[in-house]
Amino acid sequence: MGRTIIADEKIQTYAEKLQKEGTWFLGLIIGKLTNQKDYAIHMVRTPEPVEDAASDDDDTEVLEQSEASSRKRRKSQTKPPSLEEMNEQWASTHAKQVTMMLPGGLNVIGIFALAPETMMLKSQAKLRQILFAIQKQDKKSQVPEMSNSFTDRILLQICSTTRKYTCKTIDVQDPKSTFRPADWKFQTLSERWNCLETNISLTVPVHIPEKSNTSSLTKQIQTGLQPFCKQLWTSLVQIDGSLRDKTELLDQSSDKKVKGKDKTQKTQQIFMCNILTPPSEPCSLSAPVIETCSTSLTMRGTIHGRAYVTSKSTVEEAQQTLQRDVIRSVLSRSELLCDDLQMIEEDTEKLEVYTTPRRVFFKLPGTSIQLSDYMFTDEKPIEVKGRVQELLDICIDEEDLDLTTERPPTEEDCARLQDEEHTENGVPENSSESNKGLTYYLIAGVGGAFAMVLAGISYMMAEES
Amino acid sequence: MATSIVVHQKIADLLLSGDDKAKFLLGYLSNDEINVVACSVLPDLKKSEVTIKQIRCLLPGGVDIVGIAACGSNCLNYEAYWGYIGDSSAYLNLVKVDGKMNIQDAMSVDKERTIKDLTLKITSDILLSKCLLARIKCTVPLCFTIDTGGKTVNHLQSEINRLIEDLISERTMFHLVSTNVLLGTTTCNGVTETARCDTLTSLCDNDEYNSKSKKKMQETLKCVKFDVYTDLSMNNSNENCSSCSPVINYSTETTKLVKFNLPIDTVAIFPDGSVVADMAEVMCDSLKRQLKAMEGNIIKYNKDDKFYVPVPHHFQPLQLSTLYTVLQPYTITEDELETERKELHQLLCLPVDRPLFRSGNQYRFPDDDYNSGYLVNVHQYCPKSKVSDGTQYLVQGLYTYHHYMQDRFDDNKWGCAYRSLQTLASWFKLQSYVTRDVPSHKEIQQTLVDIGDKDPKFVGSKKWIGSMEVSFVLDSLYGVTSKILNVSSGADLSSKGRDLAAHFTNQGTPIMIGGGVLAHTILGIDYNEVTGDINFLILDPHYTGAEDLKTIIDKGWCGWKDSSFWDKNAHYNLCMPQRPIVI
Repeated sequence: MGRTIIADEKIQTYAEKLQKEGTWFLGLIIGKLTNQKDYAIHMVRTPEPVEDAASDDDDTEVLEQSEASSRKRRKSQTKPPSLEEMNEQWASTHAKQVTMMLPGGLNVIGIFALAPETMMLKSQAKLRQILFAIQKQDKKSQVPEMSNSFTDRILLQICSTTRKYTCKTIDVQDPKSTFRPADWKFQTLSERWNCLETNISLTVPVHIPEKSNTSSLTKQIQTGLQPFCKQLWTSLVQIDGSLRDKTELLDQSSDKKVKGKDKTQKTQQIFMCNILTPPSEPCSLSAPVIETCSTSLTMRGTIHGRAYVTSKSTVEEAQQTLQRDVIRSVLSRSELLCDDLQMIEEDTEKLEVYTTPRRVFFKLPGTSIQLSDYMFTDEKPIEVKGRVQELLDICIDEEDLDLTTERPPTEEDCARLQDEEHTENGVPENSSESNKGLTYYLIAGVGGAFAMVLAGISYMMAEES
Repeated sequence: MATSIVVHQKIADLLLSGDDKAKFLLGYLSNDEINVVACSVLPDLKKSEVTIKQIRCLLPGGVDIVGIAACGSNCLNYEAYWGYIGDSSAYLNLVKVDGKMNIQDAMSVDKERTIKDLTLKITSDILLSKCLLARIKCTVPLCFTIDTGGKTVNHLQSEINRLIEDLISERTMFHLVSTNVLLGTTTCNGVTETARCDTLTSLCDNDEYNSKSKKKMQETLKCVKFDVYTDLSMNNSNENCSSCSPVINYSTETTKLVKFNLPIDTVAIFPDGSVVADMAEVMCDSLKRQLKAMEGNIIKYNKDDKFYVPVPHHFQPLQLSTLYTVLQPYTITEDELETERKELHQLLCLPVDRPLFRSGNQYRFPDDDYNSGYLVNVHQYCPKSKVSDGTQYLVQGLYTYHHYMQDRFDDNKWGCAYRSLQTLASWFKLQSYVTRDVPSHKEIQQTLVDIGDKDPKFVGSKKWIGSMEVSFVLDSLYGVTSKILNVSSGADLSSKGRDLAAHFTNQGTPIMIGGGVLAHTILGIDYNEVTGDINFLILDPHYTGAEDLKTIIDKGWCGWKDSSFWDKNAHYNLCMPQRPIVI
């Protein structure tokens, strides 16, 4: 039996809106795969390529820096005339950017294509390619897989002439797999999404060995963060103050309600979680290693993690979902920042303090779920609004942004953390020495330039409109 | 406030039989009793800070220096030491009467130097069985700069201090393995704060552990295992973390670093009746002790760019009611550490004639799997001997039971002396005198050929060996010499009580006895010097069955036998291995 996907009715409204535009579309399906049914809660077209005024890079340079600047727009690129000429990199980059904005528990679970019948027929191979490209991109994120992860991805084809929906799934883990038919149903989503939240303060030292200088800085830092990610992945998660058996249902209230046949009272529950990490992942006895490091950095601060699970979720699933969210959030922040560092690496001095972007939340309309974005200290809510519009095709008001979940660092924070770094290095150094070569990158220059290229969107467009 | 002092018999013996020098008493406070479970040398006052640190590094959490024992002196003479010890310390006053030491009286000294009498109790109970043993394990990464300017040690020290601050805060949570119990210094989860610590054992009893044997369970120690976690969601009062979204400190200086994964493995002891809420603090203390000990160990063995990982090993020398945790630098061999072991024996007032801190002497935790397939010390399950008012003189330490048909090798009817030899060999191996495994029949035969005792055809044959051959093999393979005792007839054996008692007291090794066509192992005697009545504790190698303790005990394959066990007319030779004097 194929998969059954329950899609929110507002997706149908969205599809109908796109149909009216009279052109073909490719886009992403956001939701959750479970072993019973799959939930599609949002659908978004891949944004139109636009001129990127902020980037002076020519094409070849962009290609060279493919990893770091994948989010950058290619200047000369425009939307191809037909779906089959679509660049799969384009779609996978979009998927990556969207994934960064999703809380734990939600994923890009597939793609949709809206096109006339003949174009659709010619594009079958391309669509398959895109699904695999998204999977490949996702694997690079180094976020560990859930123990009950699903490797099926959805392809929803909407014929722009007949308005017919055809839904199929494919196992993207297996390169030889073929499409299997699936059942796509629209209905008002009555599923209750329970929410898990956590705030964790972290101190993560990363030492980058000299010999690894060949790979990109982003990659080095992501690799350097891996031990911490493994600690998070092997962490204990306390739910509302206690450890619980992995196999029990997270939401104990749902049982009773089914018995009482009281399905109306489906209010969202919020579980506050504590994350407890081991000092290190378990490892066997080995001799000490001596390494020459060219770069060391320490990430310090407090982050907010959030995950959504269905009412049937077990404790283990809920815990892993939250752990993945935190891991993804740590990696995303460092990646967003790294793209900056790379741009200014040439003129760096010995010691610097950078601020990573903070996580801000906004509601996915018509649901109880909140999505998020990362906002640099020097950015304004309108820039977030622009990205949300561009990448998720959701129109939010600036006032709807929840900017309070995380506190942006102030200059005092940076100064204090800088001092700690120094006392920590043990041997007390005299202060004149320790302040030498210290620069704060708090202000517009860095973040501003970054915002321009972030996610390849143009907030200027938003301003114009 | 303590009102009495409980001194274990073994410690009393150590205190009274050794030199006249004053000693530190090591132990713990349980309710109003000071329990003394070990002792150490009392260092010179000027060295005392270093030595006390050294002693504490060896002790489990919960155990500390609790007092001083001294001979012919006044407790106020030791005034200068009280500052190093806890709030209330004990003083044991020893006196020498007619060349024999005695404990005259005991008293306590508090902060205000008020002296109070303590009720003295000497006990031979296993005090450790009245405690819960918590074993705390985790791997802690350590990374510090190697400084060419000679500041490496400072870097290490400040990094260790940072780890201690980090790891020992209210954010630290001890997770009782395989349960939902978390213990922190400010909170307890999954168990009520006022619960007694021994209730924890029932929480983590897994079926596998229980089903083995209920009887076994009662004899083993109450031991629980903990993992260490840091609650990242808790506010850290150390304020190492900021409450703002993350900031990255970025430095491009080139530095040489050394990275360790410290294998933390430490224990803490909780007397019955202590409450769960107090456990985390003691466990934090043992973590701290071990990290400090590791710091010292790394410095001690570091040469230029060569570093060694300190590996903790736990020991229970002389079955004292405490464990000692000793760090050994990973990859440095045991032979190279002999001086260190000797110092340790001396520091802890332990005999310097036998190995007590070799890796083979390590304490066996009840839940660790050391199963070699052989039964260990089966005699402890035997019913009592029938000698009235006798004194038991028994094998000291551990041995394994070797008998016919083991190792998938059919030696029925000819291999009994080989098997007895294997039991003797196992004793030397288990007491860490040797590292060589117990020899097989073929190895035994080859050894006898190699030394010229037998011709080459002997290897692979089914020929018997006797007590002399057993002693040759022990000598050749293990460097162990043996005394051979000739007994003209089985009836004569009962007159050898005194010799055998002396052997078990001074040597404590199992004895191989051969006579007629049979070989046996003697593990001890129960002897009444007045009546001359004697029973022998026999381990019979002729058993051909499986490793089933019940059958072995019920059918008497190991048990007390009276003199009629021996063949009245046969001539007997006893091979009595002598312990080499090594550390």
